Amino acid sequence: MRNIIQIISNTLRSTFRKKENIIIYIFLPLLGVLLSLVIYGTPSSPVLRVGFVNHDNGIICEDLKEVLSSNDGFQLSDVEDADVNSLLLDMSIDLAVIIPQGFSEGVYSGTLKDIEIVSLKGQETTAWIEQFLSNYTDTLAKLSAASAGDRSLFDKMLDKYNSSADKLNVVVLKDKMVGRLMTSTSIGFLIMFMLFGANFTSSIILKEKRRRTYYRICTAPVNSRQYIAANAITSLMITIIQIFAILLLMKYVFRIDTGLSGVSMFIILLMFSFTAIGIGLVLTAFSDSSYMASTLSTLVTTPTCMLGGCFWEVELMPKFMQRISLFTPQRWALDAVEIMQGGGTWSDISLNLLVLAAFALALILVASFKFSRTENLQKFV
Amino acid sequence: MNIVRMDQVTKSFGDITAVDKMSLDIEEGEIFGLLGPNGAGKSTAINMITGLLHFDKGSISVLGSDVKKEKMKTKGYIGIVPQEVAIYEELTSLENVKFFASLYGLKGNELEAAALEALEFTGLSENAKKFPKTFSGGMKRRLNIACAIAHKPKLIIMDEPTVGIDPQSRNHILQSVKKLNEQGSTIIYTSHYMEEVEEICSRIAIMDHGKVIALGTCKELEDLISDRNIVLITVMDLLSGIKEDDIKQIPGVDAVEIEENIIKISSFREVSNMDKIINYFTSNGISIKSLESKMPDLEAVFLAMTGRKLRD
Repeated sequence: MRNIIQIISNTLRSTFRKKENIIIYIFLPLLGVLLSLVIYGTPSSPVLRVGFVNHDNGIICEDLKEVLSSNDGFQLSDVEDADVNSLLLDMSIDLAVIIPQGFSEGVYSGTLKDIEIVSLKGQETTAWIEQFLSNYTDTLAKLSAASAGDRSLFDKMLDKYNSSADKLNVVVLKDKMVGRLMTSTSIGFLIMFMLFGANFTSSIILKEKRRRTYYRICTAPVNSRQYIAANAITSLMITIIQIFAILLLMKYVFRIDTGLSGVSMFIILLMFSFTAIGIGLVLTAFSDSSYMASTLSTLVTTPTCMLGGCFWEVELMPKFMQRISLFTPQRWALDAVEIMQGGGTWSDISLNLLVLAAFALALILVASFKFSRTENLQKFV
Repeated sequence: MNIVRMDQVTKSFGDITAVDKMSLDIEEGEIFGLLGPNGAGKSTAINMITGLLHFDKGSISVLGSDVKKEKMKTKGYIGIVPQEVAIYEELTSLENVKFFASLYGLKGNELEAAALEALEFTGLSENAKKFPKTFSGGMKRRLNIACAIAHKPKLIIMDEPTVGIDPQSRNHILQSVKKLNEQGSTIIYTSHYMEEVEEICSRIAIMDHGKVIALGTCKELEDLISDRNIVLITVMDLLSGIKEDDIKQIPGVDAVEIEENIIKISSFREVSNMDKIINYFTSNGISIKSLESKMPDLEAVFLAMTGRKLRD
């Protein structure tokens, strides 16, 4: 035990004496997660900024403008036709609604002209307003048909229609689903970065091997189990700091509701970090060079994250791939998060935690065995 | 008392037998030289003694303890000075020595005192608080030694401790080796520098192809080739196109070593072949600058025994 403590304290001292290593080993992995939080974890504004280009100036256009303005979903501003492209490009508006010349006259005469919608963001953004305008112009067409070209009758009917529109009592429900889905993607990224973060163990051992201090440690009365335990514990300490920091940032800075308690999230991520450290150790144990270790790490981490559902929902994959994904620890960790988000209890995720523990144990045992049998201690590059 | 006993030890890597039925006894208080060309099996033998390599057959004991059965105990008896400097650049000299010594069970004041003593011994006490990245190659080599001796091992294994350093540091290290030996440590010393081995080693083993092919004191080894004459011929031109195999065809010649423009020829005393040797050079248009006959030395022994230079 004394040797384990000595190796841990020596690793921490020799690594973090260089202040830039604090950034490399702790803040860089955090940065990756934060980036994904910013991209996927912050819901975009629900209000559409609409640029209103009016080539008509008729009474019906004024009515449309008023109807759009009164809707909470739209933030309306008058813009010139010539400015539309630049406003869209610098993201001052989300879309532009262009009313053609003679629109009002067309309504009275029953020959409705099309309203043009311009957007850079596509269907995702325009669908709502398209539907809104479609409903509005349908009504205008029906009123126009009913008034049979009588302008004063049309105006009265429109006025009556607007004043008699159903009044709704709106109750706002907190949409936890949006937050949960966003967080699910973030947790996928978090898990991927934890895997890369577990490379801390690998990088320390690889560095020890390169500068032969590993050889020297091996000649002392230290066995491979003690050496592995020391490095795994060191790595775990770093990972725990990272998990704490991420959960605090999620909660207090980005105000993202994970849908489960901080403790539950911490335990699940901690269990996964054991596995991540195990993977790092196995990759190091089987590598004859730093280059090989780095290649193996990329070859293992990215595909298993894709397969395990870190980047997209597992359900989107074919059935056989969903079955294969059960062999990745990422899948079990993400499942556990999802179960807890759905109101599950500890007993509901006990299998997930057990599988993660089994992954970790198996990987650490394989690494330990391999380390004890490695015979090229002096030739590592 | 035997410090190290190797009995019929064999170690193979796949189809290659690195150490083949090697037997060796190293007595307490010796400075034992282990010589051999690259790939002779020296490093494998050392790694087996230190418990880093598993061997296939035979047995090894250090101070009477079996290396396989009591690995941690035997490791505790040994201090190893690796061929390449193995230290932490981010730690001070003192921290480096303290860390490695702590792995042998030293702690507290005892650890501090032992580390300072090791630094004093290697002439680095004034640099105890300095980081090795500012050190010269020789100073790093000395720190490499300090890290191996702080726990006062009974057996110190030095694997080429003087590679690539200035004469002053080399001399300091050689004096340190003698001093450590005087203080009671047994030393296994490997080197490519024959003169170092001749100067400090009480007994020498020459290894080749995984076997000890000659063993004894320097004098005893030289006596093994007392029936040979050594001729050193210096030629004018570096690119004179001399072929070792051609010289070996001359009657009586048993080994040839060419280093730059100096040709070392070992011949059996009983065969008179000097005229033929000179004739080889003159008939091939090679100008001889000087010719010297000398008594067999360790280098000649090595050449005669292995047919190779030590640096091969």
